[in-house]
Order: sequence, then C-alpha cells, then structure tokens
Amino acid sequence: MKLLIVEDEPALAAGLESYLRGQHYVCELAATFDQAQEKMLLYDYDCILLDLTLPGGDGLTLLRELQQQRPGAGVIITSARHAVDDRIAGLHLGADDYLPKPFHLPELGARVAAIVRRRRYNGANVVQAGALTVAVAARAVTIGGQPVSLTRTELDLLLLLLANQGRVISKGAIAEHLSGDAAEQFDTYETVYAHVKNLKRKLTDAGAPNYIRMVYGLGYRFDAEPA
Amino acid sequence: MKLLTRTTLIFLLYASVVVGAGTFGYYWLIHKLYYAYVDRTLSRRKLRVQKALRLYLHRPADLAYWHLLDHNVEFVPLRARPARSADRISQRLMYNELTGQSQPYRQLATFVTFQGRPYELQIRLSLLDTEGLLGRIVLVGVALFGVLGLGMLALQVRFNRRLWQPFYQLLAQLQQYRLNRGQPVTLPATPVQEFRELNDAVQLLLRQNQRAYRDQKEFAENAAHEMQTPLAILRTQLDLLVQAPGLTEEQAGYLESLLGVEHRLTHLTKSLLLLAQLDNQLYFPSETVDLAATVRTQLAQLQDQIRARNLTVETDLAATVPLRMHRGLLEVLVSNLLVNAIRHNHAGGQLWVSLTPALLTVENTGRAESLQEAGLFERFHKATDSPAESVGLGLTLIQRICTRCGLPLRYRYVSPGRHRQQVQLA
Repeated sequence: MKLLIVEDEPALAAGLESYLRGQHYVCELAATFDQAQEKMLLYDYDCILLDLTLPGGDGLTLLRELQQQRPGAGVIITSARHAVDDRIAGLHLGADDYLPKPFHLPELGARVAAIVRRRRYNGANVVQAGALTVAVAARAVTIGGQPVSLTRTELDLLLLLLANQGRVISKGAIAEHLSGDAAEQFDTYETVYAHVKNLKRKLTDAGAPNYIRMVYGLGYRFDAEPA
Repeated sequence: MKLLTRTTLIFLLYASVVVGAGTFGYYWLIHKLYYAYVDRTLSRRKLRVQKALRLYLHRPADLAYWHLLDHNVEFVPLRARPARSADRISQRLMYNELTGQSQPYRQLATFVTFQGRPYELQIRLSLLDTEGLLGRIVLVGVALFGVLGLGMLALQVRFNRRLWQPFYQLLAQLQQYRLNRGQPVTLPATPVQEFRELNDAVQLLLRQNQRAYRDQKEFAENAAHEMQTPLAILRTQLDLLVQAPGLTEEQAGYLESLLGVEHRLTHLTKSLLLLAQLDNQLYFPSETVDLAATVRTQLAQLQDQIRARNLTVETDLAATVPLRMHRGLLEVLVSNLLVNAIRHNHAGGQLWVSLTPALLTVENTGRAESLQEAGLFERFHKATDSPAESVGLGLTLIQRICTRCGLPLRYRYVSPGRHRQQVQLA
C-alpha cells in the first residue's frame, strides 16, 4: 500500500516516513507544491497526507485539483496553521480527515488505516491479529469464533492498538485518542490504565493470549506474536 | 420614512397649498379685473350717452325711443334732484326677453338733466356669460397648474430615483459586506460629485479594513505555524524514540517526563494562540450548533476524569439547544467550563450541569474562596493549591470567548465551597 506524504518540514517528513514504513506502508515524499502536484497526478495513492502550508502554493489548491483528477482519493489534511476557515474549507473540498499538528504518530496510523480500509474494502474489512478477528464496520470482536463484548472505549482502544501493531503507543496518545481534546488538560493517566486493564482482561478471559504489553510505564504495545 | 417619500410628500404638500390657494387667488383677481373692466366700460358709455344727450336728443320721446332701441340704456324721470350726485354702480337681476329668463346685469346709475328736468340715467351691461367665462378662464388656469404640478411630481419621482441610484447601490453593497470574505466592493461610476467622493471614501475605508484584517490573520496563522511546527517535530520524535528497543528503566522515566511536558507545552500553545486570535478580533464564522449535544458529548468524554475523582454529577439538559456560533469556540468554551469544574473540585465532590435554551449553568464544589477574589480571572493566575497540570488560561479563555460571542458570563460564589458559572444564551 502506497502513501504520499506532502510535508515541507524535513524532520517531520522523515519522522512520518519512518513510522509509516514500520507499519508496512510504502511512502513517497513531496516537499514542494510542484513535487506534490506531479506525484499526485501520476499515481493513485491509497492515502495522501497533505500539509496545507507548502512552499510554492496553497495546499487547498492541490486538494481542489485532486478532487477533479482523482475523486476517490483519500486525503488527510495536516496543518499547523489552525486557520479558522481551513478546516471547513478542507472538509468541504472533499478531504476525508483533518488532523491538526502536532499529532501523535499512532493517531496518524489509526487514521491512515481507516482511510485505507474505506478505499480498499469499502470499510467492510476484517482485521486478523493472532486469535482476534475484528469486523471493524460491524464493531464486532470474536476470538475463536466466540464474540467478545467490549465497550465503545475499549473497542476504540483495541482499534488504535491494531492499527499500530508492534509499536509503543504512549499513554498521552491513547488518552487523546479516547477522549479527544478534553483529555489534553489532565495529566493523570489512571483512566488509561483502567481501560487497558479491562481490555486485557476481557481478551484473556475469552481465551486469547496476552497481546498487550506495558512498556516501562511509557505506554502499551500490541504484539500479535508475543515473545 | 424613505428619502424619496419624504421629498415627494413635502413637494405634494407645497404644491397642494399653492394650487389650492392659487386657484382662489387667481379667481378673485380675474373677477376683480373683469369687473373693473366692466365698470370702466360703463363709465365710458355714460360719457357717450351724456354727449349724445346734449347733441342729438331734443324731446322726451327720444329718451323712450332710445330705451326701446337699447334696453340697456334707461332714463328714469325723477321728481327732484337727489341729495347725492355721485354715480352708483350696482348689480341687479332683470328679465331678458331674448332668453326669457332673469339675468344678472351690472348697472351704472347717474344723475342727468334733460331740458331742465331731472332724470336718473341707468346704463347696464349683461353679465350673462360672465360667470361662465370666468369659470372657464379659471379652469384653464387650474388645468395648467395641475399639469405643471403633476409633471413636476412625476419628474421628481423618476428623476430622484435615478439620481439616488448610486447611493442605493452603495448601501446595498455595504449591507452585504462581510469582512472575512475579502470581496472587493465595486461601485458604478456616477456623474454626481458627492456620490463619487462618497464612493472613493468608502472604498478606501474598506480596503484599509481588509488589509488590517488580512495582516492580523496572517500574523495569527504564521504565529501558529511557527509555534506548532517545532512542537509537531518534538512530538513526532518522541513518539519514535519511545519505540527504541533496549531502553533502560531510567531512560524510560526521562521519556515519560518529556512526554508529559510536551503535552502541557502543546496545550499551552494552543490556548495562547486561540487567545491571540480572539484578542485580534479575527472573524469566526458562525454556524448553527446544538449546544446540548456538545455538552453531552464532552461530559461523556470526561467520564473517566469524573470517575477518577469520584465526583457525583447531576445534569438537567434540554433536549436540544440550537445556537449560532463558531463550532470550535463553542467546544473550547464548554470544554473549559467542564474541565475547570472537574479539576478545581475536591475528591468526592459534586458537579451540576444544567442547560436551558436561555442559560447554561455549571456548578461545582471546590475551594472555600471566591474565584474572583482570588484573581483567578487574570491570565495565568493560578491558585496556590492548583494542580500542576492546570495552565491558568482556562478561565481567561472562557471569559474571552463569552465576550467575543456576545454571551454574558456570570460567576457567583454561591455558598462556601460552591461555585457557579453561568452563560446566558439568549
């Protein structure tokens, strides 16, 4: 699966590429308006990460062109501008998602996975991970054929972990994913511990091995083949 | 009252008065002139009669004969000389055998002597067609007046409307003007100097206005970009660093601390940028949002934090409360209200949230001192026992957003240890 990362800040672009490559995506980079324009029109990417502030042009223009040339393209707009009208304009112009900077890499991973799912499988695909089978659209989890009942939060947590398998996801990233902006204002992650603990228990109670590991108090990782 | 209506009414009023009074005046004047003319005619005739009396008439029968020939000249014998000898002009009705009706006559009566005997000479002039004539003259006059008046009225209405056209166009454009759309205001050329000057002045004003707004917007956007980009890099690198294999526990500890700090820094930056945007009067486009839905969503999202502090929550929310406001601002407002009520609460405390179409109330138990007295509404001012994570901008943001969106905010220290924040919605 191929992604296009349109980002002019080199350190950021390198970081994004590194992480996403680890998630088994093939990544191409574009650092200017012209490069981005060229690449977009040459290839039909599974997902495009579009930075709105680009040297040489406005990201929104690219988006407009993209909608004309490749109407089904999946686009996540990243922007540091936070301009008041940007979000509305972007979503109006057909972007799938809007992820303001700074964002957590696992969060990005989850959003990219969602878009790829939508494009390739019309959202109706099934994620296999070890003994787990997750029918994403149906929000149903089964282990060895038996359904597992998860709360909404626990399912969101599981999807985040599955979209970033083998990666350490910091508590802060999890908290933000689960509770949105409101979570930003609280530093205590008791609640994250609690949700992860509940999820682990439900999965192991249903007979799955323990896939979720805590890493030194920094965060958690989902390994389909636990060591 | 509309301008056109006003000028038209004034004109109509004036015209009516002039035409009304004018008609009467005109009639009276013509009347007076005509009768003066008639009287002069009678006087002249009197002189001719008197001359003829001396030269051509010799016998009393001649007098009667004259009367037969001209019924308008009559000699009435008098018994004696009258005391007054002045001419008398009067009006009388007499029977006219030609028409068979009584008609008005103007009569001049004077004293003459004929062959030594006193007579009253009466000379008359028929006024038969006079009234009709006068009437028709006045009618023509009124018709002229009328045509003049109506014509001017019509001209004025048409002309005024066209004359004021540039003004109305400018007015319409100004009413449609929205600062954040940055549309140029084009005004049609007009031959009227005052309107040209008005157009120029307005265009200049709008251009300056738009430039100022653009500058502020660019500044806010650049500031956001410059501040958020390094933070984005920082966050990304930390996320990557966390993946490093072979981390020692000590290193993980440092990382954890870094992650926490990065979080606070990001949150602080976002709040400051929002405050800067609010302070700079940037335009936040409104949409119709459901306040009730926002409150419910955020309360749900904050469930974990509420449970962690063992708070009891009582809610009384209307089903839906539509509001015209910028969505982002609303979410920050509600978020800060709720988060503050949670964070400044004590363990096992209480939280009340009530929402009606007119009022949003968030009440919480907490410190035993009024927030206002503690100066907590000042930027960055934190209470001495405030948890480390609180950044001190929450209340300021709430205040600014409320001011900006025209929603009065009231804080009341209801009773010891109980704080109430109210936002008036209508």
